Amino acid sequence: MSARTGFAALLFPDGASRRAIDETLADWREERARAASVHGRLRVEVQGCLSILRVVLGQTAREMTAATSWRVFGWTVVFTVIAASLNPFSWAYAASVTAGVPIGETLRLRGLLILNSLALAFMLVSAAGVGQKSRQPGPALAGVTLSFLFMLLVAGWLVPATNHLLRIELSTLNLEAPARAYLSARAGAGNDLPLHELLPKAIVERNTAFGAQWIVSERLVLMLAAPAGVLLGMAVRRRLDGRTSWRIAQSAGAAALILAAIAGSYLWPLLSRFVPWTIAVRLERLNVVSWLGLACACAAVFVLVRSSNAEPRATAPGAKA
Amino acid sequence: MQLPNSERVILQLLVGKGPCYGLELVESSRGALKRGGVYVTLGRMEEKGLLTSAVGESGRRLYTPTALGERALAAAQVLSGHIKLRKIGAKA
Repeated sequence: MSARTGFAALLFPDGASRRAIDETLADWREERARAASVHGRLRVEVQGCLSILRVVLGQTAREMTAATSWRVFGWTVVFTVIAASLNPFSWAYAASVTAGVPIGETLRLRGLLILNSLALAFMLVSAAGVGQKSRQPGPALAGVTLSFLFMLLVAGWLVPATNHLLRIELSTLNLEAPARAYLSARAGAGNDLPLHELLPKAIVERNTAFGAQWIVSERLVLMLAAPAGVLLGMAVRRRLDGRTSWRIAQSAGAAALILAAIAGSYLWPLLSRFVPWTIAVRLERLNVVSWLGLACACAAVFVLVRSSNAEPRATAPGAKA
Repeated sequence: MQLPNSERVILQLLVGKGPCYGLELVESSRGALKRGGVYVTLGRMEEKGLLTSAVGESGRRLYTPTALGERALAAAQVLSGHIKLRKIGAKA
């Protein structure tokens, strides 16, 4: 299966929208074959892209108004909060800094740590496709759009706000030098700044390691990794549906996203040997490792859609739905 | 029977010109139909039984109006004629 057909099958799982995209692609091919001049070919390519964009936007609008999309998104958010609450690193951290601290402050700190873990939890839960059912095509474009918007809100504003509050909260627990720690916490670091304050800093910043550009890049990766995770999870589940149980297929979607992130972190030390050091330093300032993780996730989606069947397999005997 | 404007344009073109591809309908409609979006309308009309389609060698579908589609167009035209006459009568 070609990558274009594979992506069409992944993003347009229902018959009507699939037919619309298939026919639009067929028109594009037909017009491309008929175009004689360079100018004509250019016009055909632009018109073809606009036609595809119109189909995609129309399908996204239809999916965004469908109850199924919001049911799946609602379950994703519920399970995200549960997963963030169970994050063992948050619990271990909270336990280490709240020994002997009044219960009110402990609860406030744990609440902030839960909010702080939402971004990572959301990516894994949405890649697992919680709320989607076996052999029922899920709302792909609405899932991608909603996950991007949710992550924009979380990584752009919510996590920086909780970072700031956490810093202030922890500074009040610093009994040795409370006043100094509190004042330095109130000043705020780059990680505490909301996106609308961080972007102007990143634009004017020059040659700063782990500065505003690095943080903007990190947040951008998070915003794009969530929709990429949704697609990766869908591609993995599509491939495994019918070959194994639905729960295993869902878990494999989340596991694939983790593997892609790990692969990205191993890839950079290998690639950096072939990159001039001046460029390597610049790339590291732009958080190249995270971008490579995202690239690995996209490459995995590409490989899976190319090698996948057009329709999901029939449920295997004994496999649970 | 009430027909949305896009469905009416499609039926008018198909009845007037005979079987057409989606792209031909868009090109003949003088901007009333849009590329890409026309296929959602065509799919919906086929579900309603207003037209049928057959896949050609290039993977494109050739659309033909059904008898029901032709009757629906005729009824819609009669209805719009009545509405126009009423408006003229009201002005006079």
